[in-house]
Amino acid sequence: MSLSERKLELLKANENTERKDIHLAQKIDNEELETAKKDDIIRIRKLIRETGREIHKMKGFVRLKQLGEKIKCGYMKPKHEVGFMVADWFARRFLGDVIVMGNEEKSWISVYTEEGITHEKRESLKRALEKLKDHLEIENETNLEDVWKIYYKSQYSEERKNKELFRKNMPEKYIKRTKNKIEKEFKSRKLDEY
Amino acid sequence: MANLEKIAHLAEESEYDVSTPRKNWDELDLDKLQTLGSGTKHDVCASTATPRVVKGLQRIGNTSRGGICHSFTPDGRCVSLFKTLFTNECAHDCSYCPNSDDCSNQKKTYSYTPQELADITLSLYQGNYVEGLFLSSGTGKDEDIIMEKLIETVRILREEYKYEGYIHLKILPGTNKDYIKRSLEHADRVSLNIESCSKSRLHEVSSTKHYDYDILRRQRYIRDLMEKKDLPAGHTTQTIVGGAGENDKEIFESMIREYRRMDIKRMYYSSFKPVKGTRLDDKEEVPNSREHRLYQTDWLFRVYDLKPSEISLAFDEEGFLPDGDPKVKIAKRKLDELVDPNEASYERLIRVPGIGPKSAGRIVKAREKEEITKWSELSKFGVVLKRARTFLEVNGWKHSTLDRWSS
Repeated sequence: MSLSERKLELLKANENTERKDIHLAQKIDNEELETAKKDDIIRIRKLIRETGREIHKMKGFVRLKQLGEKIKCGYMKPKHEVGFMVADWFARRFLGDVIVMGNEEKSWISVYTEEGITHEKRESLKRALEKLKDHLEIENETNLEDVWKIYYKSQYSEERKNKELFRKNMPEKYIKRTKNKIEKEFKSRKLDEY
Repeated sequence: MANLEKIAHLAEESEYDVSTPRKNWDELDLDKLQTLGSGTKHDVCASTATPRVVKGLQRIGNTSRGGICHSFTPDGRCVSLFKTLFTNECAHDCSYCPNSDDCSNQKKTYSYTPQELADITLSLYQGNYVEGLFLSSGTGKDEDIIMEKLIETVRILREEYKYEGYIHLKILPGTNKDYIKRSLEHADRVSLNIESCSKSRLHEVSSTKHYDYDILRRQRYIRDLMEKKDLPAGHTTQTIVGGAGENDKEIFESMIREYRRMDIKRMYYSSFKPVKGTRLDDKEEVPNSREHRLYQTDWLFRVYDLKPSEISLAFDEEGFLPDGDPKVKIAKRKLDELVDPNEASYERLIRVPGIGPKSAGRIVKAREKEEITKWSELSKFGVVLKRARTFLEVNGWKHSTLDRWSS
């Protein structure tokens, strides 16, 4: 018995994981991980959870722009090495579309076709899109952000205002890492002004 | 690794891609979007978790087993679905509802067309703003006519757009059985709100909705149809807390009936908030803490598997749940001896405040290998010692305080 592939993958993707953590993780199984009392195994549990949490938040908070018929592009700046895990997940959701995720420094490009997942890591998001322009049509996006803005505001109940819960569920770091506009706009104002 | 040229070529050649019309939203009526969106904000179900596994390759989207939140509003609540009314026109006269027929503050009435609604849903989904659609509605002049339009909306999504994302469809009170059957063909989850805990309580807030005929009978249709057609995320319901003057015990009893007799997946609670122009606009609002306590008892019944008679110990003489965690109140009455984590059964462990199903499971597995000898070991299993320690005894050590034994 050993740790599942997925858990090892999550552990390796965490930027704080050290060689000794991976070495130890290869000697334990899932049950040992869950029931351990030793601090070094508990540390592994926390590292795995932290990476998993970031992937989950990215899947939810990243916004995709439709560029032309074939490209979906989104900004994300994850702390850990989870770029492909997120981009591949979107590629499986939107089959045959080129998913381009990234930021000012890195980008992850992924597509799911009859050949399965094909992906590549490149320099900045901007550069990756410029290069894709040579091969695929890229049009400007429609004004979907305005539709979202109105809808998002319609869901807020003033009488239930709860800024602590909002901050807990949508921490500043994830708003920054996904460049969410309306939530950022809201964060920069006092709740009473909303 | 591949190069971008290969990726572009694969995408161009792939037959998996399902083309969808690109929309320009400049002409969308934003007042309509706002009003019909706002009409659902008291419907609190935001779950998108479904066990449905999407298999086909000619499709748009898929589902997530655990559910995903795409944003949170300033009230801290998750925005996971495009949650909207189809129309805000309604023939019912519910005294708490801004869409009711007799609301003096009734805004302009709006309606979508099925095509328009399917297009907005698909665009928001493809932009990763939402995980799917939550479609509710006023009844219009006839609930069956509106229900047909709701079904047409989801049919366009499923059949014409090959959309495989999540769909939660409301069943309108009094809907014909055939429409309920058709709803189940497309949805991951359906729901019909009971709104109140009993026939007499509903009668106090609505003269047009019939508890037995419009609601319970339709819930039984859903339950019976589910035996023939799998509904992946099950059916749910919601009740208003305190709108008709009911106490928590009455709501708790209706919760038990709903879980046991209607086989619902979840019950949701929404504390009453007065809305301007409604007949109850001068009634005092119900604090959110009441709703929270009811969720705690719901959790104790559904997840912890506590018996209703045991949970009843948490209620006061007037039938309300007092401040404080109901689990602590029950533990003070039921756990007459300190619990030894090395000896106690799983069932006894989860009755200790600060120990949940996950930490209880870890304790049971861990002690098979090695005895628990220190308090600090328990926190490593996820036990919240601050809450648990007065109920526990570890290796002969006790943390009992006077508070443990006070009522």
